[in-house]
Amino acid sequence: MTPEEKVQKLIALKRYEQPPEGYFDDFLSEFQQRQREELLQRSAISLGWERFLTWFSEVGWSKWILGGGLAYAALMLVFVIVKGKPVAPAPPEAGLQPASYQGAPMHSARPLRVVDFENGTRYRKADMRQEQRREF
Amino acid sequence: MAKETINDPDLEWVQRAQEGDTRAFDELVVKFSPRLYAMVYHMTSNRDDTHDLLQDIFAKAYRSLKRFRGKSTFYTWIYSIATNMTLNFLKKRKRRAAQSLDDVDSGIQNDDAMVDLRHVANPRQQSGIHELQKKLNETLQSLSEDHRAVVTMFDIQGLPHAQISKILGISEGTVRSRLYYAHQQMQAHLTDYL
Repeated sequence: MTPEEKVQKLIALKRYEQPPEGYFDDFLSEFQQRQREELLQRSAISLGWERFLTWFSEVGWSKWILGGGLAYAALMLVFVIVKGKPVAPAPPEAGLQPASYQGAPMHSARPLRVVDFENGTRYRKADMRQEQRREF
Repeated sequence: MAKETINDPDLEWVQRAQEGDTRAFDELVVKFSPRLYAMVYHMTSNRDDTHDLLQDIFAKAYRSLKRFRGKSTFYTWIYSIATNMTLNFLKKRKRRAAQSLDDVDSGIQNDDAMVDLRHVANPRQQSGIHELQKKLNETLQSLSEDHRAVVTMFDIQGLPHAQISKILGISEGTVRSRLYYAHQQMQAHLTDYL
């Protein structure tokens, strides 16, 4: 007998190891008890979902058409809900400062114009100077 | 091309269980629990872990039963579930043991409560059997989980290479090479008994 065969023969002795007598009867009782408890603990929603999945897996190739239809309906529903929402007014941005890493903006907001209805549109002096600097 | 038919002796019970007959599933539990218990026990070497894991295995099989399509025998199918769950459990246990310095595999390697050989042996033989059993457990635990799985299935449970390859989802060649490597490793551990 080769050493490998001897090893196999030795390790095969483990097949004689058995659990205590009556273990498997108790095991089945515990399993049944556990199944009942699990069934009671599960919510109606999870049971309903499982039944739906089971039914869905049994309907054959038509499930893909059905699944596609349901996905399309869900997408349209989301679209309608999003589209139907009132648009919120844009938040005021005047007080916002750029973050340090963003640097200065390329074009700052144009200065407010002072409207003189008699002499036409004029800028404030300070604003005019700034406007000239920008143009050069 | 003709569809391959699988002769499954448990098909009737399985179909009845799929239709909601819980007693049919109980029959399957009664039939397979001893074999699956042995597999899980030899992989974990711990009775409590084996008990909990086996409960989880049958619970999972029950939940997944509707998805069983008969592409393999029920035995192969449930054995695959059991093997995957056991391998995942062993990975988690290894991580837990690595994280906790207090948990140094206590009770894992030396759980010999399953032995019934001692009933028929005299005290001297009993101590020899106990020693051998301890050594065999240590030897099995020294193997990697993948090697232990093939040794358990082939050497202890007597499953053929082809079935082991289906259960583990590997080629027969890989099964054979893992067995060869595992036997070499075990020889080194069991030199006193060879």
